[in-house]
Amino acid sequence: MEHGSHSSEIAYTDSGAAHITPPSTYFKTYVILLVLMVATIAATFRDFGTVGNNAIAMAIATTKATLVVAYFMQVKGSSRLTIMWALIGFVTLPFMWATMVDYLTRDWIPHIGWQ
Amino acid sequence: MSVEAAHDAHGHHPVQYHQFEDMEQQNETYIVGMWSFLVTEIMFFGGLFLAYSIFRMNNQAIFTEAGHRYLEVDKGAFNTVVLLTSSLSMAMCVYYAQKADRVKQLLCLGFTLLCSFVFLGVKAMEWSKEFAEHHLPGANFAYVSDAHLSTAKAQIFFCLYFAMTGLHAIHVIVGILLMVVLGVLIAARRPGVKYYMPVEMFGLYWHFVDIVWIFLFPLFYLIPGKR
Repeated sequence: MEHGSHSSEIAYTDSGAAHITPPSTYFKTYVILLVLMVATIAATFRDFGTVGNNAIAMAIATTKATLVVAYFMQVKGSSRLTIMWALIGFVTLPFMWATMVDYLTRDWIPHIGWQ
Repeated sequence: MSVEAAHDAHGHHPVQYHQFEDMEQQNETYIVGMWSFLVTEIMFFGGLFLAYSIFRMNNQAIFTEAGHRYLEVDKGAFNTVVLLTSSLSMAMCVYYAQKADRVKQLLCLGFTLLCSFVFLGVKAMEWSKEFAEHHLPGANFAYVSDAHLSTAKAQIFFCLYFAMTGLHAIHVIVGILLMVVLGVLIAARRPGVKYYMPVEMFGLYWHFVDIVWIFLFPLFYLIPGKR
């Protein structure tokens, strides 16, 4: 059927080539997010060493964020241009931590007046 | 002949603007535009997360002590559940907007709004406790450390705590204002919100606010170390 033959009400309902995520996907994502939240709390009360605990907490948070971006924000299955824009902020963000090259190495060589 | 009828007559979607080839291109333009804004938001919060990592790296002991003693994991966890639930209901709101189900769309938006108030309510409880205990950085700041750690360094922890959760709370408040505006427009059957895209745009914003909290929760409430 031609688009033009639709009534205007039906045409509004037509989401215009957008992919519609089924609610079951949203609910599954939600359950996984809750499980991951419980996991991150459980991990914090066990001792994996400071580095280990921090790594676990950040790995779980990153996984949760990825699930939100992919499924709740419907980036998975969208156009390449959208995926690029969705990733570019998260990809460039860690570059800010390059400043640690300075902060981590300050006391390698003692300088008068820096202590 | 109305504008809508004129559009329909030559096979256009009723909300398609003339500069776009088709709805696919128009929708992509909206979504890329919103994501460009979210990229600036990522960088905005990113600066604070960087400040947090530098100060925590240099003041691990005070961060652990202050975080463990004064931030309650159960309240933070409760708020995480509230925000995740609000994200789910927002996603469902977008779904019903795509299906043009106005009533269910409003119910989901209303539930998301309710969640955002619950979140702010819990945050207000936490903050008022901190205010009462003189943990707001400034002239009246007071902090007693078991390990004789410096008060000045405790202020750094609370500065970052209030700045980061505060900026996040401002985003929640902006979200509440936008939800009220969207809800009123949808309830009034305004043509601007008949198509699902405005709700989709707000949904992206709301999920972003959720992502920020996903990182704030472990960084402030779940700092590793003996409790």
